[in-house]
Amino acid sequence: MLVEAFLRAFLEVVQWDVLSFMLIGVGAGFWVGLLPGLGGGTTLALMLPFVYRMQPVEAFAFLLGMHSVVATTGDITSILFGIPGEGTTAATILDGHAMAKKGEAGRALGAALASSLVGAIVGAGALLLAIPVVRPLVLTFGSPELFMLAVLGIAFIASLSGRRPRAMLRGFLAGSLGLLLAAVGQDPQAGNFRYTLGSLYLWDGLDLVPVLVGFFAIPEIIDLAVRGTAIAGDAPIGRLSGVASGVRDTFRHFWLTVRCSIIGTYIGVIPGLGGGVAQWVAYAHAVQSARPGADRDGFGKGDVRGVLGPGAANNSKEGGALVPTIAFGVPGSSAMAILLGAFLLVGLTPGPDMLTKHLNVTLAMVWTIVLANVVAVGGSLVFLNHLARLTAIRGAVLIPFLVLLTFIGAYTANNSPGDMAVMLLFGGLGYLMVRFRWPRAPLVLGFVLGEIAERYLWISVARYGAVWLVRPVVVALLLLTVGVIVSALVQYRRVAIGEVPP
Amino acid sequence: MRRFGRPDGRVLFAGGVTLLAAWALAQTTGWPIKTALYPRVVGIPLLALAIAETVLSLRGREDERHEAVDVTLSTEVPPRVAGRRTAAVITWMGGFYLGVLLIGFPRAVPLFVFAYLRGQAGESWITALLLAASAWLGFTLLFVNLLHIPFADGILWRLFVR
Repeated sequence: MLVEAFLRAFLEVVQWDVLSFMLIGVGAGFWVGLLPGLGGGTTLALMLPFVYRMQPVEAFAFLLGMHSVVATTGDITSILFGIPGEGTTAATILDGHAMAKKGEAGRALGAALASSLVGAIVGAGALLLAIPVVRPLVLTFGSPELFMLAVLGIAFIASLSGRRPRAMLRGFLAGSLGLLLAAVGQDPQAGNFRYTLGSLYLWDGLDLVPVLVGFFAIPEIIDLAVRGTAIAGDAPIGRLSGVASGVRDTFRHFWLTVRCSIIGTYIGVIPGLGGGVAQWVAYAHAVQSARPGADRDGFGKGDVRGVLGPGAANNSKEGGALVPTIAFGVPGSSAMAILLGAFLLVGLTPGPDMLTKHLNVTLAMVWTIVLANVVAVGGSLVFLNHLARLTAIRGAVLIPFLVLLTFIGAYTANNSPGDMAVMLLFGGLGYLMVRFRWPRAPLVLGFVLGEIAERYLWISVARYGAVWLVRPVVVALLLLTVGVIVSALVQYRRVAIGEVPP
Repeated sequence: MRRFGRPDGRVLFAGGVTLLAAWALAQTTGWPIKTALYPRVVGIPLLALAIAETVLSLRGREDERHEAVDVTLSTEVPPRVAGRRTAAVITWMGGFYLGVLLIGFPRAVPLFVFAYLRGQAGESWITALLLAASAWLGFTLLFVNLLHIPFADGILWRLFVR
């Protein structure tokens, strides 16, 4: 019966009017993803009024079609220019842009797009399969467990920050700094102001968009100016063969892509975590799954696996985030919270009805995610060679345009000049961290997780006192955290004594 | 026993983070526990780690093997040239920021693109003018007309023109 309903939903989505709305959404999402700073969530909010007169399936084809391709095309900006097209595509920069610098932009783009498609399909599949069984999964995690999950995430990425224990020290240092930076602004418990320096702008805390844009784009712009060449330097720009090779890479590392997709889906399911976290955990998993030593050394310098992991995870998380949104009305991310508004606008109530009375709408969403990504990836592949050629333009000509995109990207987050100052400040911090070999990924993850970590820490302490520390899942996660650190130290040791080649 | 070396950029950076962590912790004294709990929980390990990093930076030379999993800056350009180019691009970005604050985005965008292409990149007058005009056109069509993003006029523009 489910199979029949699933096929009926497909026929519903490919009807001309529904398909038209989806294509309009995909077109809008394509460009929103390319432009730095302009987030998928903001665009969803802007488009919400247009769905009033639509049928539910049309409305979700339009909104989900737009939202589910934003991360796909956001990877393109991250790879070509080192500027995160979306907050959720920053991790792709580390290896994707490094590949572009080596003249492998086509291969990196091919890998990012193909892994995005795999991720979207896995996420949509998870949405299809998980709805009946997801309730116990979500309910096993209370506030203490969610706090420990944040700690585990930072331990995971910090312990994989380099090739020596010193790099791990810097990883934890960067992660802690990110967590502290998240404390700027009004505290969520008592409403007191922290570290606002008397500035009204800082009352709301530091916005993620200008932080990310500055943190990643400014060091790249400075480096491009220092080199005085094109982004790809003197390396020849790969044409179609490069793109095809990137697509082949996805299938060569297919299980890595699938594992990262599953990571993205699972993180998407857990309310509050979202794509900002999924991409970094997937990146850390890609690093971790490489053998210690030479196999791992290419990360950060243009290893295609560093593109495949985040590429897959930031698309699969959408399917995952839809699960609690549809099943319980608990949005998995801020974009899903906006989408929840769309449910109400078209007269639907998330919950059990979505699995019975309105099952066709739920299944149509699954098809929309898959079809929208197929269209976006197909469309991107047509233009890839032209886009890859941008990396051959002389750096001096490209720099003013990159500076414009960076400033406008930061400004559009809140339409405030303060965002540009924050962007420049974090640009300086990012540059110093790269220069002195501090890993940036743990800082970003700490910053993204900070708000969630604080909320769950306070609820845990207020509700359970110190007893929360001995809850079984908390203990398990604590042991896992220690295990992650010890395992990294053991691997460092094995490299040091020559058991594993450096 | 190893001696402490001369402070360099790494030491200053790690020292700066140490001072920041110490300041952040000092600020929490006098805050109610609801407000102070989280900054203390993350601030104490941050301070300990920052002190450790500062001491290690003071004691030892940087080892290539300490490299982080992150992008690396180019090393092919001589340090003096690299320093000059870094200072130049930072000045240009600072100038653009100042331009936006004083005369607003709509005027700063073409002015900056033209000035950079002509003054820094050494492009011809025609190329610089054409690219500046296309930057202005793209900016106006996409961000002003299509997306309706409200760009402020700038301090000088408001004072003397409006």
